[in-house]
Amino acid sequence: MTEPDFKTMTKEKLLELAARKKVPASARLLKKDLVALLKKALKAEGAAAGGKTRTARTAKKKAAGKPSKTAKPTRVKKGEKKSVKKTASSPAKKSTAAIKTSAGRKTTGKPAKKAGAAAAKATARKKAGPKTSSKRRAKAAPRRAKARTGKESPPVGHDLHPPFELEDMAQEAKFLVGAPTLLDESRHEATPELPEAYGEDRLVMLPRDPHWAHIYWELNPAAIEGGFRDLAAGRESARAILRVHSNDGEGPRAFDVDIDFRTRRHNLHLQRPGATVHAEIGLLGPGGRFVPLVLSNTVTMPVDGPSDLVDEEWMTTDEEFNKFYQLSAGPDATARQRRGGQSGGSFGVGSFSTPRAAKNSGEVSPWMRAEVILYGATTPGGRVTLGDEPIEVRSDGTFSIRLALPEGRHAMPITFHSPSGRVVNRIIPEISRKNRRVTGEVSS
Amino acid sequence: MTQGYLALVLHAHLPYVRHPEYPEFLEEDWLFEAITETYLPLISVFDGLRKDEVPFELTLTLSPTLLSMLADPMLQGRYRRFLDRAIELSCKEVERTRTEPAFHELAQVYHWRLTQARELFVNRYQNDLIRAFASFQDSGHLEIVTCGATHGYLPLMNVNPSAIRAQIQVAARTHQRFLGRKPRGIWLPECGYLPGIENYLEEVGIRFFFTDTHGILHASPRPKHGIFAPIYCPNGVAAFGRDVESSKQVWSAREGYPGDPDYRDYYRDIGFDLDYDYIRPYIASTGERKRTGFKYYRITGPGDHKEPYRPADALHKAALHAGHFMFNREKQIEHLAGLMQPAPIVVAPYDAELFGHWWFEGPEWLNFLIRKIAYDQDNIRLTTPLSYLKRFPTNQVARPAESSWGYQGYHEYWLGEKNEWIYPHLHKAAERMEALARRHRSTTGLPERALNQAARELLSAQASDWAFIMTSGTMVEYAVKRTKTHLSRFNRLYHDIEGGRIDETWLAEIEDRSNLFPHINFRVYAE
Repeated sequence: MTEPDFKTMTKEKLLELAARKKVPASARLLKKDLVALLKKALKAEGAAAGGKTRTARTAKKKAAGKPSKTAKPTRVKKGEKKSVKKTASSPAKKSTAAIKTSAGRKTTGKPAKKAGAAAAKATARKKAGPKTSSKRRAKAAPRRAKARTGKESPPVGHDLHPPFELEDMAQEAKFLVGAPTLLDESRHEATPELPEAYGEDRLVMLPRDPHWAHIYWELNPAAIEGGFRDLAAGRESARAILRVHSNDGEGPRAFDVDIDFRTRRHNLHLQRPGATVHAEIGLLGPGGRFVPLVLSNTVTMPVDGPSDLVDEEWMTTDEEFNKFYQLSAGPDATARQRRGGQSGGSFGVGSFSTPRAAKNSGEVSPWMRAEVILYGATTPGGRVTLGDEPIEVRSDGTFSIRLALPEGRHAMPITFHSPSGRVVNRIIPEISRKNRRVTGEVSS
Repeated sequence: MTQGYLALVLHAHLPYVRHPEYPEFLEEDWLFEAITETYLPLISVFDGLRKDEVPFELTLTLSPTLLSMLADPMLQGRYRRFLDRAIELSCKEVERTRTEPAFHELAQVYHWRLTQARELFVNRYQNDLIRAFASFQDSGHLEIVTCGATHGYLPLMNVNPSAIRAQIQVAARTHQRFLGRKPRGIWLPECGYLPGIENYLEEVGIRFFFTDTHGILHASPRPKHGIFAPIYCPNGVAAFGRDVESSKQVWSAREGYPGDPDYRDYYRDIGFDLDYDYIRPYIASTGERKRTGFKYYRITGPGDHKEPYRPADALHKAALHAGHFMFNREKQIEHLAGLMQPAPIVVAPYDAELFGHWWFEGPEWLNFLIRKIAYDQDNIRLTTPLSYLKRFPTNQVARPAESSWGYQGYHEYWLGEKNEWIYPHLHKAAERMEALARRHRSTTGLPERALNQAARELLSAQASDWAFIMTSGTMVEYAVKRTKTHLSRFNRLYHDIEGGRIDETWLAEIEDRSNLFPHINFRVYAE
């Protein structure tokens, strides 16, 4: 079969070809990945007469190609492995896999392992008629659930998100009218450019998923100069550092990442989902002295598994929870016990509202709440912040703040800024609250 | 006996695209195609169900940008022009295909559909599709919920909480203005949830929202019934989780319904297939080929060979698939009902535009499904989140986990290497907007107009659609242009307002171009 000239084809044309060839390619793929996918598919088609396909082996080889630097290698591999086992019930799950490159970025779209076989099975299932297959599935579900109960749980993130390629493609189809470029007269209108910088010192952290945060910054040359002066060390001996402070309920940790001030962005890998994290950029002197230049906002990383907290009114056993977890997330997912630590997701500076019970039961259930008061003093005229939020400082420099204290372990970073705005000190009280629950009849 | 409930949720949204500065604009076709292929067919399905007195309840998002476009007289006029051209083409196609019976029949089908669309749009609903949707709300069949004002991706706005608040406040006010009542629920843009967002929802009286599956499963404390019962956030706003199984059943690449060989092929379109001179008047005004909506082939199978589309076969398949879907929900609910009290709820949300636009037979599938559920079984009933909460008001209290329905379940689709560059600018603009609003709270006259326009430009730049398109790789140039244009206008307004030198002519020009939310009050950023 003659191969089309992929180079001259637009991405849309490639997608069109992919759809015609039934290659599960999403428009989210980069063009080169799409081409690779199509080439493979065409090759497989060509070799089909001999009944051979190298797709599976190639995909495996590629996945194994960069093991040490991949971001979520275990999860990806497990997902793939599981998919193979699940061919009968969910061939769609193995049609793409996420691979992290050494730069921590993701490229998608490894072709399905044994895609041909999966398609054949899918067709066979359709031929068998809808009712037959669904009956089989309905019967099979509880059996599979039972078989897995009590086993060590696999990671769940990928299981909850099987790649629904059709959905992806269809969602993108909303925006497809012609070629992926401006076809109208507006292409003659210049696109305005945005400022390179806003002339400020700023460091912002954005959680991207449970293990990755995107960080961007802007630093004025004057701030960097001031840092060097404060450090009182030679420029050559100082290192530009991103110092990351993380607290996952097992105590604070900090680690440094070497950066180049000029890149102005960085993708940061974090070990602990649910941790409260903030960072600062500064200069590290040869003697280990660190001069901070700018402080980031504080974020709570998303969790990637079920919470360790169990509601007092609805006591939920692991077995019972796993039963519903499997039904909710698919038969292969089991509630994974996270490696210790509380869920950090339920406490954030933006959510200090006082919890109250749901207001619809008609009768008042007994309840209790807890609050905590933090108070202190700073130089009059100075500023104090809790996370990113300023705390009101009285004219004599004293301050106090009263906060709801939900269950769990919480870090409350208090930062002191001098009247000129410099960070002069930081205290991070860690407070934990755990209700001991008594079930059954309680004697007074 | 009813053992459990199915909540079908359709999320209808398109970004605000309106270019009065050009006589025609290709990206406006997004709306026109959606009206012809999705919104009008859905309205017809609902209308038929109501006429036949079929009991049904559905949830539908009408995003504030979509509402604003549907209500815009200029876009309504351009849609009529779009329809007229399509009808003209359909007449030519009926002629052209006279010697090809298979295509001739299809050309007649398209001609009928298009003239029917015109009849509905122009005569029956008098250009007002919002009123059409609202009538189903009034008759108790639809729960229409809102979305972010411009579909801004809320979890990545948390650097400036006032920006999240404004997205919700403006959405709620716009919803009320167009639909006559406050929204009681919301589809969070891209299902993007961040703990604490519920506080902004509570402020506007919203009582429920949706998260992806893991948003509920990973809630804290653990939800006893997984996604099969709602949870209450600590402030009493309810969260419902998306059911994986029912989503997969429709959309997975190999098992999903829309890939069936009998269904219409989305890609083959006469805009690309026919002689250039013949099709020239119906493609882009600049001469580039584009889709026309006339598609004559069915998916057929893998490979280039395509057979003509046969509507009757496709309709039969849609009925079979509806039966299959219902049977699986019945079994799912039967199984769940034995395990839990109260009765389980299965939440199945879909992008509304997938029905009809992508999956041509989607609206008919929905029609069959609703009728079958009403008459062919007793186990399950359709419901909306509020109806369910009314029946089962006591639920577990837990806070959902940060999540989205995007790739991998978190934020990377909107925060990847192709679109991360937008955030320093978006955050800076949001910070400046808040500062402006606080400083100029009591201003009136020209500065007030400039401040309101600044809010419009910021909201427009925040639409998650732009970041989505940048990653997906389709129409990227337009998405980049929109982001930069709105941010540049915002920045100029900021400097003009701060410098006390507002150019009224330019302001009037951009007010005309970005006329979204005419009643916006910039003070929403200072409240």
